[in-house]
Amino acid sequence: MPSAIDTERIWKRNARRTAWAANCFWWLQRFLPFFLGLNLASAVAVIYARQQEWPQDRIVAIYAAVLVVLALIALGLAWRRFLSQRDGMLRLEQHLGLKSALSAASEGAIAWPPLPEQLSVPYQFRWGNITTPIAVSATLLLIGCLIPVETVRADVVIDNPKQPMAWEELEAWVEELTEDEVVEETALKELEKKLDELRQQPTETWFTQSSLEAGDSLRDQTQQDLQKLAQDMMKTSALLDAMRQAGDEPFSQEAMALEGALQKALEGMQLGTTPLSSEMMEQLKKMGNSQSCQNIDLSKYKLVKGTLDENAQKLCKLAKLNPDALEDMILMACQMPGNGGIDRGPGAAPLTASPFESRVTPASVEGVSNEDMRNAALGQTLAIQDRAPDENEAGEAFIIKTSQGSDSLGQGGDVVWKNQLSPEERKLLENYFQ
Amino acid sequence: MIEPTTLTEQSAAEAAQALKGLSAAVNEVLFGQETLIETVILALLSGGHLLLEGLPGLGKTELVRTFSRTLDLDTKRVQFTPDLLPGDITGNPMLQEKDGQRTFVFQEGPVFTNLMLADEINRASPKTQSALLEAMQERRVTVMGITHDLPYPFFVFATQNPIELEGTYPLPEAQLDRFLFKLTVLSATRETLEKIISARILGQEPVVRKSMTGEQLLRISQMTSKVYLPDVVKSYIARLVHGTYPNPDTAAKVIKFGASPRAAIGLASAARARALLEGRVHASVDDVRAAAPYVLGHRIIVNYQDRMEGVTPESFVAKLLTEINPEEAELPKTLAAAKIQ
Repeated sequence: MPSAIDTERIWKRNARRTAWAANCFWWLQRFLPFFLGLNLASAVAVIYARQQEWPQDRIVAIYAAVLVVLALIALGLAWRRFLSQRDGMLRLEQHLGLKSALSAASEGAIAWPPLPEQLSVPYQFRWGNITTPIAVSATLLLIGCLIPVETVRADVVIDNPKQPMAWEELEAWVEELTEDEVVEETALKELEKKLDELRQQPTETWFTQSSLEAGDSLRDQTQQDLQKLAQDMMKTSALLDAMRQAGDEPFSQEAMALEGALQKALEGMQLGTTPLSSEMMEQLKKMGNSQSCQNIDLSKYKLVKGTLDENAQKLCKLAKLNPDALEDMILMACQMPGNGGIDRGPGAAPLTASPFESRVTPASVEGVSNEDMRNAALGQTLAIQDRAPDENEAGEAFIIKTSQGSDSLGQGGDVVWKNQLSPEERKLLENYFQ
Repeated sequence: MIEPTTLTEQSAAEAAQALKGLSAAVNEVLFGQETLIETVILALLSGGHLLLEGLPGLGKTELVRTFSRTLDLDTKRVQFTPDLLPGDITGNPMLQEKDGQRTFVFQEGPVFTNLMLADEINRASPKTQSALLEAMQERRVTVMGITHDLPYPFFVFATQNPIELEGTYPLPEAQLDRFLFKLTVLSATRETLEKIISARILGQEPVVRKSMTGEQLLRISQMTSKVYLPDVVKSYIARLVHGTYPNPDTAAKVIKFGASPRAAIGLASAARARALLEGRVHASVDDVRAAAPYVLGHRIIVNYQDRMEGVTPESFVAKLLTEINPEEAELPKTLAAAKIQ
């Protein structure tokens, strides 16, 4: 038999336990809706996090923090309804049918009643109200964790994300050009910088229309520049050959023309957006005139020329330059006059009169020119004349007869040069020379 | 005057035993009225007055007479009629000549007794009914400026017939409030009737066994006032009485006037008496719940509209007892409420 003190202690302990159990369930009742909502949101968040490949420990930490906050909020809401020890004692005595004996005993009115054989918490737990939200929450979380999800960005993609084709080509060009040292280093860095600017965009926007267009534009522009450089290099190579073969007449018109063309080509290679490497440019500049070209050591000339050709070939291959166009380029460089075109430049027509002796060989092409038109025959100058179109006669002058005989109007504002005379001009000139 | 008696668990058990004897003695005469008899005993222990309502012939008068005889108390019966005057109850000063001098001598009325049976009290005029007010509340009467104390103990057991309402005067609220209990005497069951037929012969008074003296009843009654009322019980009584006040949000929305503080005092006394009847030295909320319908029922007035819809004071009190629990703090829905035995 427990003593009176023990009996009191046991009764009070059970009263506290009764109140504590009720308070726990109060808290649970407040917390479970939050818990259910949290897990519903967490399931969605877990799916999203798995798609984004977020670190799991961070997700768990955020979940735990939110859980603690919600638990505290639920505690605050349930606090006002918490049962005191006195309430617990009242519940206990009602449950045991003690007819307020515990309340009277706690107030010192009577002795504590004897303890029953079995003391149980006076509640019937409604487990369904508790387990259902927990089970639903667990199911939601499991669904969030186990449902198959396609990751948006894999680890490999994060380290080296797949990039548009144009960028890859540009990257390959930069790498190869840097290795070959064909193009000036600063130009390559500038190109890399532009490429990096494109890469700094959010990964999601890499394949948008605007990004792809920007990449393609940069690639096309670079390709054109490289093609131009390759053309200039091939032209330079051809001009060097021509100058080497021009002989000992550095001041001949042909040599002068070749030299001018070479200077122009060198200038083009130097001023482009992808200029030739400064080292190569220095070597080429040393051979930039006929005299120096003739005087340079053959082995050194061959070395420079070989390097230039080799680099030009590489560049042509890199820039996807058409080989046919390359041959035409070489031919055009060697046969400067008579090729037509607005950029053919000055040069002697083949077999024209010249104050200097020419070395006409079967293998060479001689340009003949006569710039003094004062003594030229009428038919020599009458056939070719450049002039700006007269605006007054634009309506008729721009009517071009096509081979099919149909008329086509010129485009307004286009400035064209016509290589034929109008009937009025021709009549005027004939009258003048008569 | 009887000396106050200290209350111990032993004395409470002895009192409970004696009260059981009283109950048994009355039950030997009145069959099938155990609850009614127990409630009457509670009224006697509490020192309260009793209003018995029921059809004629159900044993109301017999109940009072049986108690008076078994307790060996002085009993007087007054049949209330419309022409009954207050003096007929309280007593009248009579002019007497003695030694050649004429003086008024107060002639005590039937109220000067221990147990007064006011039969069909609602048939007397309000003036006569009011004559009982002072007697019931202060246990004394004042005639011609002279106050006369009533004998101790003094109980009024009144009866009224609920069906013959023609020519009756319903008791005013002030007088109703002075009755501790209002009890409804129900018709006997078939088994009870068989017992009555077997035991009783028309015209013969039943033999009533004396089980307790008036002095013993007084001693036990004094013990009642010493029964401990725990705080939770006090709180419950207060909440119950407060719950009868008109409130649109609770069961009391049907109430026009609620119970008075006198009802709270009466309910506490009844709870104490019931605890002693069960041999306990402390009252419980169960005692309050058991006594509440008899204490509160006649003290509240239901709205006319709700009364027409069938709401009675008794049904309201039953609803009140389900609405207001002894445990003030409610339980969460995740728990079933503690089982009340």
